Amino acid sequence: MSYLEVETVTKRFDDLVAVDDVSFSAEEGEFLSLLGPSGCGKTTMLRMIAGLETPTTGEIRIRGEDVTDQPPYERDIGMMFQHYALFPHKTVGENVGFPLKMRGVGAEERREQVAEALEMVRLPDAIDRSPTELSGGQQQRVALARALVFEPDVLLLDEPLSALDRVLRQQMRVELERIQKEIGVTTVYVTHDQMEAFSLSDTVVVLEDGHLSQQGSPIDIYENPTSEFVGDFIGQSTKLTGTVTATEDRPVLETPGVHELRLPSSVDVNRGESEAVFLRAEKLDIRDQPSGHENAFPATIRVINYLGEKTVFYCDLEDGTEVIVSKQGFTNVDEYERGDEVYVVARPEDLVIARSVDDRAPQQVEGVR
Amino acid sequence: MSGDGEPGTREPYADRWLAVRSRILNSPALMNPVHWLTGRKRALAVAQAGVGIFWMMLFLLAPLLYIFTISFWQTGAAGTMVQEFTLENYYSVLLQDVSLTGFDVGNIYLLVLWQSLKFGIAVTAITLVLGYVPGYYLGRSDSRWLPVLLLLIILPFWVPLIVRYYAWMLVLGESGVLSWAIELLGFGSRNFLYNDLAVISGLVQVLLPFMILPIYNSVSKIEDSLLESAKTMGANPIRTFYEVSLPLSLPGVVAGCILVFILAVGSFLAPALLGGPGDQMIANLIERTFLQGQNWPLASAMSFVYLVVLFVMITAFNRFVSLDELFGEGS
Repeated sequence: MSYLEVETVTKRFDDLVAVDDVSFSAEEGEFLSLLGPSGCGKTTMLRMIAGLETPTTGEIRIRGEDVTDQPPYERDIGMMFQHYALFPHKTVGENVGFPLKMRGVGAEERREQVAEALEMVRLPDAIDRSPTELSGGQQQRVALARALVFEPDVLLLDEPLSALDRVLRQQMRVELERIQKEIGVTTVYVTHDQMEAFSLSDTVVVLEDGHLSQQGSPIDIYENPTSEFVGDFIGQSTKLTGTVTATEDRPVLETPGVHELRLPSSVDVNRGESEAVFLRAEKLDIRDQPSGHENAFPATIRVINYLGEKTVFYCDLEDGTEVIVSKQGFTNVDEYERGDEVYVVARPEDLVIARSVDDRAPQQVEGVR
Repeated sequence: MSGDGEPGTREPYADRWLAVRSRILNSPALMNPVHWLTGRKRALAVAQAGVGIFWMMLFLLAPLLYIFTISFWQTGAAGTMVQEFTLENYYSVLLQDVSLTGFDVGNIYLLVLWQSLKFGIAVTAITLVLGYVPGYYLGRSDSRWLPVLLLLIILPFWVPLIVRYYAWMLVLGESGVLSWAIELLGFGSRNFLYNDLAVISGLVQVLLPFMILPIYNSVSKIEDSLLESAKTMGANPIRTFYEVSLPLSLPGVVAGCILVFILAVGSFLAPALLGGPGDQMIANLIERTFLQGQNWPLASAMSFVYLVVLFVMITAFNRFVSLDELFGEGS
């Protein structure tokens, strides 16, 4: 029995199916992310765990107890809203003390715990101030303190970093991880940002259009996507679709842009079938000559984005398909310029082919790695 | 002022004039946004502000100033005014007792003013009780019928006040709806008109929208996430209301109370049509002094005292609920 269990949950709003037969679970202390584009149902899922929405069918259990029909105020849930939802008519201290007050904690003890929680988020001096006077980052810390002060069973975070600017977002992400690990609260985190999800989570649940696309560790999801959607949505990659032509010892994919794309020998494909292959931008290479490489195909550089830590090349294949190549610490940028004819090199074992778990032969997982 | 202003010599005088001129030109009053605008834009801004100020001057300040002035004039024969200064009017309003046919009835002005304030407080309290729930409900509603419901609240404004009071007379009168209902229950027919309750109920009926709409306005601005977050923190619906919705709706409550109170205290038609002889209010007294008594200076003094009393009461109320703070923050 897991700490938090979501079992075959479906949520319908009139004609719209927001969440469609989703099941996942989280162990105690686990950090789980619900990742997906907007409108994929991740926020609705979170709201059902909070009790703000009731599933149409299915069951939600926390510590083995069925809470599906429990109102939010009877659950022990700490939830942080996207825009923090701090009470403007209460001080920071009153805001953080609110869940304690609702639980009948006396004023004396409340003050202590509030001070402690504010200490944890490094805002000990804000206790008597109004939340409206605080900056976005400070408001967020207050909201986090308020969600955690009563030591809830589960911490729910609804895109908490989306309203912050980039630098602050990075700081808060690190802070969030520190605090979550420090107190070890089971956490469900909703985001559309892959980097946030990957850097924070033990488990990532990818949602697509209301249903669960894939659940696994960040590595698992990145390296072994089980659906084309996940392969496309996660990471920066180019999708090539074509027909399998040769399957003796080496399967080959015939695509409009690349005539002979050699696939890893271990991959399980059938001749004549249509397949989609993802070329991860950071696993591709740019060469002047095709010699000595298995998959080297001619391309024209269209745009070079030098970003310091990495350089991103946007190239066009022969048929006009765009291929993105991202090179870490690329120092000889000056050697290339727009319009250069180059070769994009993809090692067969670096190609990612989306496979549902049932279809994937055991040795094949190794092959794709 | 530039320091070396030697009186008697010409040059420093010119210097000083230049300094004063530049100070005036750089003063904060002139460094306002209008100052920064140029050409047509500036002319337009000045014109827009000017129209508003002109309107205020013409229809509010000028009449007030006039009333204030004549309240110090003397009364001549047959309703004429003598433009000579006197405090007689204020003396009669504030201090003079009136005796009617031998009975000392006290200071009639202050009695009527007190009566008006009592009516105002009663009407405000009742409209608050009756108006909060619909105002709150409309503010939280996401029904697609909301515009229709709001229209229904505003609809009575399209009917002239006097028609609405006559309609209310048909409800309360001897052959009215209420009397008929009571007769059905086996009691004799009754006339509910011409007493305090008729005046108060009529005012409540007419002024209710002025309470509902500000409350609606305040409540509709409360974000759903505030109420939801209260719930996730363990507050049941009643505590959520008490801790979050109610305090955040107070700006609307205060605005509604002030509106209704001012309108109720100053009402003229309701006491005239629905009230008995003992139910006259301050507006009726002032009207009678102006038109029937033909005593403009005295009536002006009455108006002015009434204005000051109302102003003081609203300021005190403002202090009491710290209106500025409520309106200043996140409302």
